[in-house]
Amino acid sequence: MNATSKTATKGFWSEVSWWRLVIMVLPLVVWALPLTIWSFPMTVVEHRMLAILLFAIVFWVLEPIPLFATSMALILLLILTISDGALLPLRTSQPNLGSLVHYTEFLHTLAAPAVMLFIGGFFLAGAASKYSLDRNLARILVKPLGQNSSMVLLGIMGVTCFFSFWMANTATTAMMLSIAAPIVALYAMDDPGRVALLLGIPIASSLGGIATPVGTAMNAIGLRYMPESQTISFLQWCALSVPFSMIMLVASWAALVRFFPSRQKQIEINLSGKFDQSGHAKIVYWVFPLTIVLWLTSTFHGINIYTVALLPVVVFLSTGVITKNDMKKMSWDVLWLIAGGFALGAGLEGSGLIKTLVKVVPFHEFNAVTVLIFGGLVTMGVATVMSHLASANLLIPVMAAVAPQIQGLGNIGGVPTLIYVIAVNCSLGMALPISTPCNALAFAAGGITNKQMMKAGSFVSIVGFILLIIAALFFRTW
Amino acid sequence: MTQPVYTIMCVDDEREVLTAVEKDLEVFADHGFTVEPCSSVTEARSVLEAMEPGQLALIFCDHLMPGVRGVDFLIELAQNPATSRSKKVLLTGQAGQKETIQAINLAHIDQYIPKPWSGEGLRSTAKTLLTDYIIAVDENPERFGPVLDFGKIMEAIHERNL
Repeated sequence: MNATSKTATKGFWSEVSWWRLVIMVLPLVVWALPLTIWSFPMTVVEHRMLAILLFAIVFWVLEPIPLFATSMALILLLILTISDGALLPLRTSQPNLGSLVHYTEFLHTLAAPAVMLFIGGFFLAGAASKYSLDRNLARILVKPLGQNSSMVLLGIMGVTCFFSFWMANTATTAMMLSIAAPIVALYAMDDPGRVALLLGIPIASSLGGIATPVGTAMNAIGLRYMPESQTISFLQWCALSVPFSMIMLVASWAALVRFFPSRQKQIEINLSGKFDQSGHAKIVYWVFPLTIVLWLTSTFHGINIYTVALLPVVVFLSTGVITKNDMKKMSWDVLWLIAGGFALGAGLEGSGLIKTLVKVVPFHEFNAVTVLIFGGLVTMGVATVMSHLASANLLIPVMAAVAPQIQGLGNIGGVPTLIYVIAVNCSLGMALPISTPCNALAFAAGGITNKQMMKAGSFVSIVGFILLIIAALFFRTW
Repeated sequence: MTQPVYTIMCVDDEREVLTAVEKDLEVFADHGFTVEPCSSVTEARSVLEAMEPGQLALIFCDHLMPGVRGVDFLIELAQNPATSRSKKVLLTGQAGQKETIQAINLAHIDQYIPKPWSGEGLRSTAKTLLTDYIIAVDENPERFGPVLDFGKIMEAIHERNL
């Protein structure tokens, strides 16, 4: 399954309209325009970068090709047009060419630290899933919840949220929906309690993803753009995000119980888990918590989180816990999507375009809190209608470049505060079935209306946004 | 990149059987599957010719019919790469031991339903087989969640993405 695509269920080409085609050629039009028509001075390289930026926006928003294909196209286009490995006619010196970027800047993005962090995460989650650690643990945690339907809902949401700390949101949602399917079946099709349960899982999964840097790719992208002078540790991220995620979980649960009161008050759950006792499984039981501890204590032992991520990779591969076949099943498309975003960021920086654009807009006149709120709202709007990851790919590099210009940002924690708010808001856009693949999966159970999902999703989005701003302003851990 | 469509085929020379099966499978027709009744193997072949490889998800086939017999047609489908993975059900009242053995060994049928059948039983067989087929061949099996086995589809999606 394509973990990141949103229009997958509709298909771009099945409803091509003339305006979509016009928008798709816009990047080419910008490419062809002479430099002199722009109201601000740009170098040739910056101008090419502008066309590529437009290409990224158009293709990530409209999805005429898969999101990860756009990512790879970006890397190729950037190298061919604005690097020192560009097509010869494009790199021969001409007046006002600007500076070409070294081509490895773009190729390196495929092995960026954040990508390695995610490979480590994939290995952990993959091993847990292969030896059913995740399903068994989930069943055992859900079991002692009693029979009160709203407590069962809280329990399932809590377990989902906790798993999503470490696993991809989509994988967690699919797993929990499969575990909850027999419980869902106990409800009458028109019982609001069924809706609450089906909506609770994707919501809890998205909220859990916020809690740790490995919870979702948007967080890792955020970390990548933290200024070198002010990096945020794994522990600092968690110290702020785990409480945020917990409070939001309880708030969302309370809202679901209120919006969709269950007619069936008692729910008998009959789940049991039997832990795999093989040697391989035991390696997973030890390495999983050890990796988490090493991530959290990174500042004490000095090994950075990206290197720690290699530990499960090395252990699982050398012991045969994860085999070549298992590796093929991992979501490499997500990694490529991240890499494409980093390449875009490297291009924006390396070409100098971002500096030029920042000069054109008088960002320094803006107030820090206004930018925080406005930027957050825009991000949430964008993330609600398009892929969370693609939103982060487009918005975080731009905000990171703008941030140093903003007045008074230093008083509220500096650049990291702004990036944090943007990254987390990418996760909070969840009002529509197309907002995240998690929502789409729950929606696939049937019996949920768009309106019900919007009601619950927009509640979480709005309350989450307000709480996030408060947390970032008053309770940040940096 | 449009989504693939799937067809459920029913081959039987008795019109009443086709009508009854079509009615029993109505719920699938309402959720994205095409139900295609054929009154002979010849008709079924020409319908099949117009299909994409892999489009035939499930076939219910009678055995004793004028012209080509059902088991022979099912063997033909099993040997054709375009239909080898399609789920095959023998829905018949009169298949001898020899044909039944052939159906299992050569046509690799997934189920044998003796006539007369119950609507509920037919639906539940169809649901199980279609779920397995969709999980095996489709990129986005979740779109069939409302009509197929939702829990099993979610489990498969989870396992597909280690």
